[in-house]
Amino acid sequence: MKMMKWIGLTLILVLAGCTSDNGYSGVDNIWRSANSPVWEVGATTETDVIDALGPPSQLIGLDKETVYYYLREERKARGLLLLIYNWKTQTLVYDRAIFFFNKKGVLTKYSYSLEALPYEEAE
Amino acid sequence: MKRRNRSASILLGCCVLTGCSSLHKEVQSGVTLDQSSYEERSVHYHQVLNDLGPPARLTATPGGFAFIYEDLVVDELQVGIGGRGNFWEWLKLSFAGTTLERRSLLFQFDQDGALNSVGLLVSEEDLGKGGALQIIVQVKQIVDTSEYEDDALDAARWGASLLDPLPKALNTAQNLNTGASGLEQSGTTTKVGQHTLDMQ
Repeated sequence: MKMMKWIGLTLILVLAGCTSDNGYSGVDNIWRSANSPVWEVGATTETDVIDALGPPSQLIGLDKETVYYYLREERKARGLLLLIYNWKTQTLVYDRAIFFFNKKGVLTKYSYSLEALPYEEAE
Repeated sequence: MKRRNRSASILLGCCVLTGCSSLHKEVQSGVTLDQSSYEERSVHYHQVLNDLGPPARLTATPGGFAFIYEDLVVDELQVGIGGRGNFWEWLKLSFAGTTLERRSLLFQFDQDGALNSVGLLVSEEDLGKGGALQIIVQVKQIVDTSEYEDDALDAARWGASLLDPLPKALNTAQNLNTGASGLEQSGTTTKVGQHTLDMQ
């Protein structure tokens, strides 16, 4: 019984100082969804990409090509606030997709980031 | 006696060490940046994208374009001293030191996409030291490292640039975040290059 009281008191003291913070920003990473279209270099057009993914985070004009850059950011923070010591860690993860189009608006190259965030369908 | 000494030590530790904090921040690029053995003129940007994925930032350059990949780890260690007494026990005086571990990989391509040059920077930087008086229950970063974090919303704020102070608004065309006027490493001082036009 006494042991249970000590365990309870310890848990209250430790867990009272736990923090957790998650957040997202940027566009929806539809390119990670199961229903994402299959892109074909030489056939897919800018319109196809916008229809499927929506407007890009950034549109960049190069000399010979146009770039559509999609970015989703995840912030994940954990913390432990104790009496004499506090610890906090935050990790930022980016899910990126990039598409290059020629002057005719036809896909010449696309790529996804090596790290991926799970796709969560908007309600 | 021993027990009294131990209690006194614990009490002293609580008084002196109140508010010691360790803050850790990672900005992950998803690449290890170990793949830097690309040979100029023999590599096309398609291969770089296949190997590393999209860059953190890219820009058009005269006669071509450039990619930059970054991997950053920020660590801040705070040592805090708490006060005693009715008012002072709710405050702590903190001193912090912050370090940055940076790996940056820059590629420059010609207009046909052939690699012109590539450079890798691996460094450990001291971002500075600082002190602050904080509420005891607050754990807050003292050294500002926000400029090392990409912001997914930056691209959506282009309209707000029209409301910037005049020197900055007039030089929007030279902005290094648009992808049209060059790029820079995260955390570059505003006292160099295009930022000087903003009179920051």
